[in-house]
Amino acid sequence: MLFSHRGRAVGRSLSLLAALLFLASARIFAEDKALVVYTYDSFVSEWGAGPKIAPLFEQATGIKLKFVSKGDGGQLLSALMLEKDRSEADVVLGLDNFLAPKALGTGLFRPYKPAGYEAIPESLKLDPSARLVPYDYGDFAIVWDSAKLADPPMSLEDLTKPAYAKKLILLDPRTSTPGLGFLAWTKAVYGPAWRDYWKRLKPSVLTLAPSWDQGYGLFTSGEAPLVLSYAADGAYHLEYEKTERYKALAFTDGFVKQIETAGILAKAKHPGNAEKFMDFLVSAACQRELPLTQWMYPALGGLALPDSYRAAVKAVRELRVDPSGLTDEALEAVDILASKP
Amino acid sequence: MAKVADRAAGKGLVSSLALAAYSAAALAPVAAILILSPDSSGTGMAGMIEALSQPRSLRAIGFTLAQAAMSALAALAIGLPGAALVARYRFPGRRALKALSVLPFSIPSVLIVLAFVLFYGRSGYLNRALMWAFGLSEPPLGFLYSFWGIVLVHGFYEFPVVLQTVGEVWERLPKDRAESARLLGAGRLRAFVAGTLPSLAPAIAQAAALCFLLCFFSFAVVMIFGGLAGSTLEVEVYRRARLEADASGAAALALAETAIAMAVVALVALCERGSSRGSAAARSAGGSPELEAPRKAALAALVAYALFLGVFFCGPMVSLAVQAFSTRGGPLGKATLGLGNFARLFAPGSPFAKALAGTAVTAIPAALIATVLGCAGAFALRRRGAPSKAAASLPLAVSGIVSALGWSLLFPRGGLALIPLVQALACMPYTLKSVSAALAALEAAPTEAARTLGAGRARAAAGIELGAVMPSVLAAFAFAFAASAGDVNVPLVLGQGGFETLPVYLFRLSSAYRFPEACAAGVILALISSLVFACKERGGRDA
Amino acid sequence: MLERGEGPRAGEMLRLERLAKAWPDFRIEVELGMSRGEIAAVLGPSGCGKSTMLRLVAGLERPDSGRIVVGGRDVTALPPERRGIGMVFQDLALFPHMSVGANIAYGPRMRGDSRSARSLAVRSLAESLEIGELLNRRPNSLSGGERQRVALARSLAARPDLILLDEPLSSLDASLRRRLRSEIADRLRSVGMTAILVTHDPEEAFAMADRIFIMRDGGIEASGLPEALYESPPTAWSAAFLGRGPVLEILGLEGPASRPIAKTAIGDFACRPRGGAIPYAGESSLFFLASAPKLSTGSGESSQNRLRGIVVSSYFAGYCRRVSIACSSAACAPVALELELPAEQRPRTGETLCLEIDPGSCDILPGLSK
Repeated sequence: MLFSHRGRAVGRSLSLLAALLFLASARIFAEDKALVVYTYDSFVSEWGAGPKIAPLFEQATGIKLKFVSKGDGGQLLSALMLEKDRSEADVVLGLDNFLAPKALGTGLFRPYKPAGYEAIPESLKLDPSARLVPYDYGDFAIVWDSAKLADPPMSLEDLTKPAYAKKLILLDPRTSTPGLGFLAWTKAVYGPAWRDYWKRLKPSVLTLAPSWDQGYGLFTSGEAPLVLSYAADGAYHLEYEKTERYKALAFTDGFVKQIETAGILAKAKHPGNAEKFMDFLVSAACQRELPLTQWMYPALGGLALPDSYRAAVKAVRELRVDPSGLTDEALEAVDILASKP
Repeated sequence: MAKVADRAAGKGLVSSLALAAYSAAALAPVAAILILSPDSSGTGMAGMIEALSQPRSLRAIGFTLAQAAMSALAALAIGLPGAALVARYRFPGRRALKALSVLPFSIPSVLIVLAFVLFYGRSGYLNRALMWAFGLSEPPLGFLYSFWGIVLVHGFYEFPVVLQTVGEVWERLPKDRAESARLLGAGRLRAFVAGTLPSLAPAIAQAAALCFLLCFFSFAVVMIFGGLAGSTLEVEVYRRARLEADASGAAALALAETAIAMAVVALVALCERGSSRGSAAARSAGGSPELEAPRKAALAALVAYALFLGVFFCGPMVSLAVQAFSTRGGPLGKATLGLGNFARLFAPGSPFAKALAGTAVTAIPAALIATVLGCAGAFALRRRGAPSKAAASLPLAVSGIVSALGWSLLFPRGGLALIPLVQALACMPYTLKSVSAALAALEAAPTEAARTLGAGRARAAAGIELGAVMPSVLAAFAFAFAASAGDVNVPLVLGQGGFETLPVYLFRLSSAYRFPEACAAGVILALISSLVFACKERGGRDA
Repeated sequence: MLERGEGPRAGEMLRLERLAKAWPDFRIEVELGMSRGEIAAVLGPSGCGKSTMLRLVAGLERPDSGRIVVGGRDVTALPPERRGIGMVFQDLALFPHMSVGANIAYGPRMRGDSRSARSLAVRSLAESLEIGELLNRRPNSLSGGERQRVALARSLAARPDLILLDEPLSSLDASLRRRLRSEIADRLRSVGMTAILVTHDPEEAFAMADRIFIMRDGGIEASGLPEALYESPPTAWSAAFLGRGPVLEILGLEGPASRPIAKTAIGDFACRPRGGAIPYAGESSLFFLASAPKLSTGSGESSQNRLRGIVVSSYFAGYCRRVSIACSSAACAPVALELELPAEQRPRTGETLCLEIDPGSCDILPGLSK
């Protein structure tokens, strides 16, 4: 009687919602037997690889998959370091070559060479003992909006030309992996002189976006004709927008790779199933799905690529870089850009 | 009498305990970062002091304070004329203008950034118009990517908060003091300074403090537009926690950030006390003065303000809507207008419906919880002092990044049922404030009348006081709904990828190259929020 | 053990027994009784505690001591909703978010009346108060008089034993106030309702009440039937408050009790004998109605019961002429008296008037006017 009819309606909807929430959480706890895979958010999104490969895996093996997203790649690693051996994960998927040394340093992974491991090119393998197994890779590249800029740069050095003043969107190396990748790229090309390069680059940089999606959003809004992204981006635009307006530029310096890996945790609760998943991950059935979801090249060699990949740019030269110390240098790089000329 | 005193003391104890639990929940994320985060460097306290005394950290603190202060001033400059117009004149769109204050809370910042870029950016509509008009080859306005760009975006993003907070008090202010000052020979301006400003000052300070806080925590806007201008505390906390696993550094900066914010919150609470005194003055003068139809100078000012907002504020929002209706296609990637993005959202099998349902099952309970607890809190804190009210605003002092980090540390496995709870907690200061202000403005007599007509204390409170403040309760609900529906952090952190809401969906769309579709989803999100506000307006009138 | 105040007295509806409440700078202590069906007015200047007394009776304030007995029931410890006392507030306190109908139905709803009983009660009350057309309107959209009627209907609908009216007409304009005054009183009498009206306006109290209590500084100064109070206020202070005529401090008393002579600053006055003991110089006052002094026809020499003064102002007030005269006093500054002369007399400002007063019109009242 304390509340009027309005109050009663509120009470009814509250209890209904409580029931719904209970059911929802009950469903989640029911998936206890599922194989738990920690990954980053875009992998599990509708357009990511997750929703495509989970049913394939389930059909092939009868094992249920449960993806748990921990944010982006960096957050995935820090979650792992926080949980240590208490993690509910069996497999961790999505640690790239920049994060791998730190990830391996935790000692949380155990070696496993999945079936077909030999078919993966040696250049992609980051860990000789196969604790982390590569499943796809891509090259960082500068993507060009051909409708907005007539004359694209063809090398890192070109980017510093006055013609490109305020025409480049970079990503913040402190908060984004491609941002860190660009730093690694300049390091690979210029060695210790990368600092000088960044100083020269400063006038060309319009802004540092905190994450890839924000940077690429600015780019496709026409804000600047050049953005740091991936060499396969042209393939996306051709596949879904039937346009070749956006093209990755085949810089003469060559490209730095991002290699994505997965590994089994030593304390996995379902070690057998985890191995089956790793076998599946590098199998042709799974690898075929990656080009059009991850917009990365499959790690497994010899697979036919979708037609749209003719718009993806191949590296003229492979650059290798040691990721250690990069995160500290990221601070330096940002300081260089932020300093008054 | 002794029994009565005991009961009162008991009630005081219960509400004190509730307040303590609430404060603990509000500060739990900060505590979690301090206590739970893994410390790879193992430096602890020393590491914290070291992290704080780095020149980089000090620069970040200085820059954060400076941009927040300037942004708050900009919001005041844009919002105060609007508050004056809303307080005194009747014109079409008046309600809508007041309802804009939900905007900074309900639209994800990704889209806000995009909106401003589309309009003010180097190839935005404004620059293109100027280039066309003056035959320029390069965009003339380049200040967007600078300190002043941050200030501009924040100013336009948060002025509705000023307009609403100040306008609310202003319209209830009796005109007689300013009028008598004018009769005594003061000019219009001096009459305002002598008669109106003193009663308005607390509300202005409060709005400024709130804007300061929102800008202080701003992440994407500061990074994109000021990425080359400097670093902020939010960025530093995020960076250290995300990549470096530098727990002590992240904790030190999170602590510094929260401490500064708490000082601001305390200031807000202090101002609130002043402004409730102001509204008491308004009450004693007998209700709010009537709104006038604008004439001559006022009409000119109104039209000028409408034009100003129409171009500089609505411009970005409309640009966003245009983006939502345009699809790229063809070999040249030309944009064409159409419903393609919406069609794709509503296509069968699209997760849009799931995201919509996810938003409903989190935002509705979150708003209900925030409203019910907000009402309970408002009644319980009615006769309490400023410290309790400051404690009620504590969730305001916890930034988005700190909150996300803290809750993920506390609940590493996530938990769907927690999503509405955490969102409700974040909305509590606003719902509580809304109901409290209405309660404070309530006269005692109707409640006493109800008592003499046979209603017990609780029934009088529920039937008369709650009934009389129902418009504010509905407004609180609408606000909490919009803010929860627009929140992306909590569902991402606690849903762990297994749970989609509209903002999560929107976030994923933009992570998958699909910006026009993201804009379309944003338009729908904004429509839902405005729908709830429209319902509230109707409900408020009927109640 | 039958103590004073136990058990209902025949026909008594309300009794306040030494009802007291104290603040640092003010104290209320009231003792009064009312019979069933009576309308009493509590009359006093603002700040005398009359509204607070009403709030004590209603249970909106807690007394420090004393008892409140309604219809033989001690309600002192009961919360307001269980006292069976209705109240019409100064600003009416209508529920702004409810329709007029819902406002009136509120009391019956709280009593748990059925929906049909409620609507019947609301309808019949509204009809009789001529607000039947307004039931679906909101209070904010009503005129002052309509709001007034709604407030009364709302209180009556709850069927209280007693209704308290706290300056209910203060917000209305003069003509409406005069009309509603009798309408409300008639309405209350027609249903046999017992009511206490609190007001600062003597005219309103005389027009509405069966009995009047004059309140001063938290206590009852005087009480009585309206006619009696009007003709002969019982104390100097109440005479001054009612404004019926000059109240002069008595400096000394002479003569026998059967024909006392009061000495004042402006002369000596033979007075009407008082029943009982004579009250006492320095603690009593001389009072006569403003219309009592007549223009003197005899020779000018001043003796007893004569007033001599200069006209300060004079204006026509309808049935009479109000004249203010300054009487030179023996001791200090002149004393101003407000008098009423027949309307046809037109004394000029500055003119010296001689007046005389019949000893039968002069009263000795206890206390001083201030």
